[in-house]
Amino acid sequence: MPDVTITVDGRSFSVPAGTNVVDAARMGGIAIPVFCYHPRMPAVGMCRMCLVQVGMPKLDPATRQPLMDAQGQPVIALMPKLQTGCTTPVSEGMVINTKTEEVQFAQKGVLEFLLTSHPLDCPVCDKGGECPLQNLTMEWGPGQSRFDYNDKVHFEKPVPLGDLILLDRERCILCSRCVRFQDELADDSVLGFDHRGRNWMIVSKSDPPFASKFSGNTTDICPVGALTTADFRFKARVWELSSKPGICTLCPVGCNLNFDMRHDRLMRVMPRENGAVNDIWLCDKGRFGHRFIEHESRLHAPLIRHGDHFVEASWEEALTLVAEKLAAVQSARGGSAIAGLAAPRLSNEDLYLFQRLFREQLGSNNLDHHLGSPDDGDHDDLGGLLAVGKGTNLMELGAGTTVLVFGADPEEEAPLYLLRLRALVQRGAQLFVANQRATKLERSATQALRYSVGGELALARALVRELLERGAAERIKLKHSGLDALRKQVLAQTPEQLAAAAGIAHEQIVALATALLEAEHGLIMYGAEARSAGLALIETLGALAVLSGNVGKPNSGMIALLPGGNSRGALDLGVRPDARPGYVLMPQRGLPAQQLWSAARDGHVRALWIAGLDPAACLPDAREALTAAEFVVVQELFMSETARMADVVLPAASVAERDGTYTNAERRVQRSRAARAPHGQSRPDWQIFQDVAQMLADMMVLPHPRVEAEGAKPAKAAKGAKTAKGQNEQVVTRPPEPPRWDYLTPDEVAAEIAERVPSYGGVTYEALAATGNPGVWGRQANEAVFYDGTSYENTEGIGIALPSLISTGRFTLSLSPRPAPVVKDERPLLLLAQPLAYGGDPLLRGSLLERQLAQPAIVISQSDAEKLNIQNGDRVRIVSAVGELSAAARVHADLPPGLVMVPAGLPGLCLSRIQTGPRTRVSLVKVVV
Amino acid sequence: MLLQTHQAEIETIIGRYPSKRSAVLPLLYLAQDTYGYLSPEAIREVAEILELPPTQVFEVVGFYTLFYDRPVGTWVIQVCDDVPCCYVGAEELIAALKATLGISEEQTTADGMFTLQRVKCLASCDRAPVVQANLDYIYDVHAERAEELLNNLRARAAEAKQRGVSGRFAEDYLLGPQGIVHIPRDAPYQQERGERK
Repeated sequence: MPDVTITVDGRSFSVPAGTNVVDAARMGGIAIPVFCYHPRMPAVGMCRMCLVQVGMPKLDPATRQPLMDAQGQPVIALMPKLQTGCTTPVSEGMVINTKTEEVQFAQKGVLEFLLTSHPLDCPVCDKGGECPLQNLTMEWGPGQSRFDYNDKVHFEKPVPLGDLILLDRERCILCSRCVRFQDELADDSVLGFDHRGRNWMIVSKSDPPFASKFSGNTTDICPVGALTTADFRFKARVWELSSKPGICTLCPVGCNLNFDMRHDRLMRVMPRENGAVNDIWLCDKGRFGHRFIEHESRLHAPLIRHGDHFVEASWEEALTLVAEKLAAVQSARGGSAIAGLAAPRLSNEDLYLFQRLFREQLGSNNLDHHLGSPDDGDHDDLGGLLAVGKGTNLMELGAGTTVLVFGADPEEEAPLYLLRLRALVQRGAQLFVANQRATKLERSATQALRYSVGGELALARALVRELLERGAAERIKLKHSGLDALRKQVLAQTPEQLAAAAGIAHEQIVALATALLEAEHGLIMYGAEARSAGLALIETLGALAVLSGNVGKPNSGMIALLPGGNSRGALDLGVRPDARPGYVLMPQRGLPAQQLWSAARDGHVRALWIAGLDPAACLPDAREALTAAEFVVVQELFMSETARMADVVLPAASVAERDGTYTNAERRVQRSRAARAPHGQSRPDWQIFQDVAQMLADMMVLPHPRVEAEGAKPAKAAKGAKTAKGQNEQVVTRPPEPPRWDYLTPDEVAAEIAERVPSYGGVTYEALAATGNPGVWGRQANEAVFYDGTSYENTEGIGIALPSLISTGRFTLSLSPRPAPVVKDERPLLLLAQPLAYGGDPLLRGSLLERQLAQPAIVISQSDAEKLNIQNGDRVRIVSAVGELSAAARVHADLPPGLVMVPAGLPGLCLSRIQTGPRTRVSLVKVVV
Repeated sequence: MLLQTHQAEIETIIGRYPSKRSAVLPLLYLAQDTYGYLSPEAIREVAEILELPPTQVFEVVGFYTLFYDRPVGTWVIQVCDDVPCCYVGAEELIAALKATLGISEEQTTADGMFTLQRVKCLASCDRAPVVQANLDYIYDVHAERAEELLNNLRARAAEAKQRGVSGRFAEDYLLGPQGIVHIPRDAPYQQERGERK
């Protein structure tokens, strides 16, 4: 937009046309007070706090030219009344006065009115100390009120709007920021106004009330103390808190947050602004789901099994035992008899050292970050190879961007993406949502493509075919192979055949292909449902990204929604049986988690180290394996089912008790800092790995020859090796001279990763601390005065986006297609493990979200229910080739026939018992009581 | 369930508008007449028919005084107590109605016949004091004739029941010297006023 010149309080400067007066003045460093206006939402002009005097140059009616006075200055015609700055767009030559007597009189008047019935209970109000109403009253308000204190209206309070948020009607100034946030940003229209006049009040009538995964944000943007969280209410005064910058590890978004601590206690979690990640928001899981840090059931000391019970031990004792046992197994049976699993929520430093410990000290490649359950699926390489390019910032994207969300439910898998994608659409981006069932994101889509159950591969192929037909192959600028095979495969079917198999109209496919082709920036996001269709689908989506030219550049590429907060870090850093850090494939692969349990049961694997995962909770195979194993070490926060079966249990420090870096779904590495001392004697995971490695190094002859030989002959290794996706591997030529185990701090580990893992080059703690341009929020002229509560400035670094692997030129992309997975099972229904934000995550313990955990249920479609005469609540049983499961039925009008959905990860409903793989066919029967 | 009992009518109403949500007021009136008042379940039913978030429909009900979110009598008597009506005896009228009915504002008589409410301006100051009974306007009602008014309404209870409390079929009346007089919709505006003492 062209700039216009305006004069605010006598100072002239230029701002983009169309800016409203409040924002324009702010650009010139002049603060206009607001309550209802919020820069993230359209203005409504409800509170009248931003009244200013506005004048326009007077025009000569005949010539339409500005009239000039004797001095040659344009004559200004002031508008007869004060205007609300937030709803008035600037125009050329506009004169704005914010400090005249008239304006000050109005500001004082508005504040006096807002305070007529305000209870003035700041001393017991959670908002006190970061309250815009306090701040604005000090700055712009009257010193005294003419209203009698005894005349104040009183209401019953607090009114719970839901489990998490409470309303104080006396404090509410009815600015509707919360209502608008829910309607416009979160797309959960669950708040509204009831009654009118003096009785106007915020209500929530959804079922359950205030059903939104973003409710906590309303307390941040509430300019008074009307909305408070049940989590923080009456806990602390805000000025006692010290904010420790952390990263949320509960999902792959990697939101920046602050652990607000009073001394060593976590009082609340607040968002920390990062324009490229979470803007100024945080989902409820991140905000309320960190109570596990202080949960009373945290492990506080190392435990050693004596018969059928555990005895507390010193670290020295426990670690010595671990080292001795592992050394014994290693020398007796070799490294292949040892296996390790590490959770995809551990930090990069932990994961890197874990694989070093196993590969270098134990000579084992039996490493994984999966659970070893039947639906684990393949390791996701494409989300790294074709990741969004360095310099990606979703905040800057709008018109010209096409986003395809394929087989994902971002609201559940990575909630904050819902807000980011909606914001993209509002700025003009095109959003295509392809799924086999309704998701919340679909409501925001430019176009929704509901493919038939099992029709995803046909849809992806139809899109690829359309692109190839249009000569897209010529656009590929990357090293690639297999294009002809791909062409041959997709051309084998006509567009009509593919469209029919996908259950999508051919025109829709053409429209999406066109949007991807024509996009300046193209993003393809895929989630659990897409991944469960196997690599054939994911690679076809990869081909789609490549053929449409949307890879290897900023703001374009693929975003994989993987479980946990750091699955990408685990993949990048080689916690997998087939590749070293940096996706360097190994000629000799270890056992993936899925094969681990049978190997342990059969005695091939004798010792297991499990860090942060709980396979025993739901996998009968794992229980059997853990019983059979000679030695089991479990490193955990809690006494999990797996820990109960361990020989040694090591207490680990939580994310808030140690420094570390995490890599999010877009491959942005971000640093989280220690907010408190480790619970009890718990230690950071990386330190535990290092201590054992040190002992092992002292204790036994290192199994280096093999490892070194492998590194010394990179060319040979490269020739023979193929990645899981068939791309030729290129081994780093740097000879791995194993570093010593003498890291003092995690930043030394990070420095080593930066040095040794190619794509992590430059990612040091020093570099991570750079704040760059944290977004457009920040603290600007007096901003804290009226955006207090949300103005948590990011002074601790906004992270570093890694380049996508393909852009490093070290990898060749294979386009050769895989055949579709063959389904032999004749059972009529497809089982879908529904990933849920409030599923069975053990980290939600102790939080208010525990009350909202999903209930066990078997969700079926209306038509399947009618066919089988099943009502809501009937007990039903699903039967697969390997087992059966029963629960109450829930009939879902939006679910397509042929699909059965069961919440994933619920402790009371172990899906793994009936799963035959990432996709399981089942039949459904009604249980007659 | 509304959708079962009034399907054709609902479809006609919805068909009048380009988008479903526009039908919220007529459907709420329909629900109110069917159930006698708008229970939370009735409001949710309307929300479901119109595919609206329930909160938004509750907002509408909360905003308008003519939607009753609790049970009301056969006749809902609303008396304007705004300034012009007050000058010509609205307070006295309210006091007389309360005394006659034995209830206070926002209450319903034990026989379920009358609910009494105070409301703000009914936009007929020229014929104050004004009473609204199920949206039938009755002009020039003075305290001494409160009983006469109530008797008339009681006599027409069956009519009220048949028409419903929503006033979808409301008419205008004048409390003239000869009692209550119906004013047809197409009648020319009359300056004639009730007799004053």
